[in-house]
Amino acid sequence: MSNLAEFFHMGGYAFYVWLSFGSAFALVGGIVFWSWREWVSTRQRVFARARRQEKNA
Amino acid sequence: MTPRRRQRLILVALMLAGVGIAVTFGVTAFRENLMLFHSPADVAAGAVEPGRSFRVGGMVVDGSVQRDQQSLAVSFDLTDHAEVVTVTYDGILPDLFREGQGIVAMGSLDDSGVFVASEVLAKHDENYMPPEVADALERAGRMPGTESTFERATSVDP
Amino acid sequence: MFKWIHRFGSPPVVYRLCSLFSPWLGVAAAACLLAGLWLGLVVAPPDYEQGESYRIIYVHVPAAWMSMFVYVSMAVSSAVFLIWRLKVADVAAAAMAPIGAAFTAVALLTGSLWGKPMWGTWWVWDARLTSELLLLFLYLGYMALRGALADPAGASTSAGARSAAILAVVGIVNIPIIHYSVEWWNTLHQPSTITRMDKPAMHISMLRPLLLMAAGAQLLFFYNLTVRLRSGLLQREARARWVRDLADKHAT
Repeated sequence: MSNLAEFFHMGGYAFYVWLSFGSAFALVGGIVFWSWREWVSTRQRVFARARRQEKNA
Repeated sequence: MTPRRRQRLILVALMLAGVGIAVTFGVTAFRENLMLFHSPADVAAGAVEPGRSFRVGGMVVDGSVQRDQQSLAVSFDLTDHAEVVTVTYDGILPDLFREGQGIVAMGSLDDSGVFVASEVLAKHDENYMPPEVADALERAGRMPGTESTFERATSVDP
Repeated sequence: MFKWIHRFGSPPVVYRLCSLFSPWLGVAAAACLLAGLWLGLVVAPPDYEQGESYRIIYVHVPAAWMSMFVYVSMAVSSAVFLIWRLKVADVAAAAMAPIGAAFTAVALLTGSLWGKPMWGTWWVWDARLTSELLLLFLYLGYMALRGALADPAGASTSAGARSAAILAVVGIVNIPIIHYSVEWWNTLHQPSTITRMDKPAMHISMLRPLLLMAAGAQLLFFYNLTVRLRSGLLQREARARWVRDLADKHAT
């Protein structure tokens, strides 16, 4: 267990190291996730409208 | 390529060239202002008058660091392998501060030519290696130094 | 000579290519990043001078590289849009901007978090840091002009799209400045570790995770591009024949 504690301690630089990795994950990961959700909703909306038009035509 | 597209291509190229030339001129003109620090050789040449605040960068001379036992006050010599400037500082040094390390200090010269620093920053080099490898290189006398970082003199007209 | 530009500029072709590559890019990116994180955080030894703090390099350097790579891609795409008036090129440039800005922000933020313990300061106005900050403003300026943050298709032929493209093209002069800033000027930032001509000044055990993280970031960018490009194309081409065909296929 002390090994794990040591790992998270990062030789006293825990704050800087983990905040760096965390902010990178939050920012880049956030953009990636948000883009994916946007694509799913856009596809749903555009396809639904396209099918409606098909039916009306 | 249609003539219209060729026209637009030339337009984009001209625009880019224009901005490129303007920026090149701007950057060359302000070259000195964009320098973060002066070298000890600049200081020795009298580039900066006493009392004016500026940054000096160089390597901490081996064996020159003297710490005050009671306070945080410290004095050390800074070199660019040409000239030496003595620096005094009263405050917390960065983790990387050590003899042989490149540093940048902010402050001003006093009347006796000593640099009184208000801030000391460590400049680290571009080498990364495990401690064991560093030990082995040290023993073999092949340690890559920080010298390269400071070999460019920043020649400033006095 | 430039005929191929139009063939590859056809929205349904680009959409199909994106759909084809997207899952593979996503999986490859995740694999590289996970392997890089494991090797970089757990396996790689501490640095002889900087101890454990140097591990910030594994996010800082890939993010900084990508901030420049994405910008060059965006500028080239914008130039193609300006010259050939290719819709796809405009959608692609707009799709690249948010993740490029995110990489730039990460490079600046992690640099700051590295600078505090090692240099002794969060920020210094040296040439490298200042030019990278300017890059962030270029991305934000592009997105503001283009309205790209709201939707990747945006107002297509508007003056906004064109002026944003001009900004992107002109801003490319900042890229060599960022790259060479550590050589042209005295900076607090150290010179580059990897692109040195002789050999990388980094031990192999530390270099391997860095290259993995860099490859992962690169793949993640392309994955994100395939996703955003498809959103943009669907929005822009909502009434097109190929979208209706796709909608039919999707329903069955």
